[in-house]
Amino acid sequence: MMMNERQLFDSFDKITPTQAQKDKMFKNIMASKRQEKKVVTFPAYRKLAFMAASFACVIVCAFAFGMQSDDTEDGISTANIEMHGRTITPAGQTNEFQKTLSLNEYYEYLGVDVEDKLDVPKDFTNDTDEKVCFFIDENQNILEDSHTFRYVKDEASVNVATTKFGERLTDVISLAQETKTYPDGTTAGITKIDSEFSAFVIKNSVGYSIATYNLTETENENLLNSIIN
Amino acid sequence: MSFSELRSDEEIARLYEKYVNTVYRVAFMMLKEKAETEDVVQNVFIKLMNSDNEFTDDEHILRWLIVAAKNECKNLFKHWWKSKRNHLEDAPEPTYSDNKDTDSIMEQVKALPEKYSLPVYLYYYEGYKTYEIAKILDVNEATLRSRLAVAREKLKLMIGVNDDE
Repeated sequence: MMMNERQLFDSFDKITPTQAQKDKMFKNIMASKRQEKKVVTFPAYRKLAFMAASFACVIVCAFAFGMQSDDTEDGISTANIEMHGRTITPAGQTNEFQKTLSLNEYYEYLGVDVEDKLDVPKDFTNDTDEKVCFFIDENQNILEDSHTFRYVKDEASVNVATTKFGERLTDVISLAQETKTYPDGTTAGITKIDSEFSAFVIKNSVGYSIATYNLTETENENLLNSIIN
Repeated sequence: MSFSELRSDEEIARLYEKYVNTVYRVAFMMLKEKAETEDVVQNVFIKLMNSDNEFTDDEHILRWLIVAAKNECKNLFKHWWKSKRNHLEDAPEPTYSDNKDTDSIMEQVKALPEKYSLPVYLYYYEGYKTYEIAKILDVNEATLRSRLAVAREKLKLMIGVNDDE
């Protein structure tokens, strides 16, 4: 369909919250102000309740850290500081900081070259962010180290999130639809829902959270095996 | 405009009324989903309330809000379960009119990756110049122009090239 500038403008113009939406959002904003440091709730995530219980733990972790900003909000600069040669920027309203690693630095940290290890089906495009964001506290303890390796092809996708806090996945594995124990003793928690496939594995202290969409059974198996082996 | 002024209920209410639609649109262009868009809008204005930035004027605030909305959306994208959830949930709720032409256009715009849709929105709706958008989105101006060109091609947009491009 051909369009002109006016039609485009009109279409944007219609993306407008209703008055009820505006009122609700403003009420929440002002409530947050009154409660100062109260953690903001995300009503949209309630929709996740229907998802398999196995995802709950991961969602809570991801959600908790998802409230941090990864860029300076004014688009220019704020009080960046140097730590161990890396730039660290204040993140959000807490005492947490974030630092950015390259993928190679991240592999060194994990002890595994994840992209090299993963057996992703051919023709998938690697859409992985080349910067890895860590959250650390003021004592330089790492709070969050996960990174998602993402591959896409048409309507199919592969997402593999990694963390050295592998123990966080222990409970999730046991809650999966099925568990599979491999000859080396590694156990994977696997859940399949229609075209969705998810698996949680801890291998050499590294936690892997796999989520694929529209892959064949063989492709999912190869991907999982590439992590186990 | 000082921090203390921003903290007042009246000032927040004024800025909210003035810019909520823009923040909502920026977030919606990136997330394409109503409920998450609302979450982002709330968080952005909460961050504004708690920000100690020295804003020079309302335009400065608007640009800060756009960047904050973009960053807030990017934070959501970062997590693997975001893409997974997209597959699990139903299609985005239709939030605009029954006008088939307009909705068809919006569907095409929504189908664009964020790196194209956001510049298109800022250029054609908000009226920013390419160098201004480049600064807001923190990208090279040549890259920005290239993205606009690609977006136009994808949208089969029949519009002229302005002087500032």
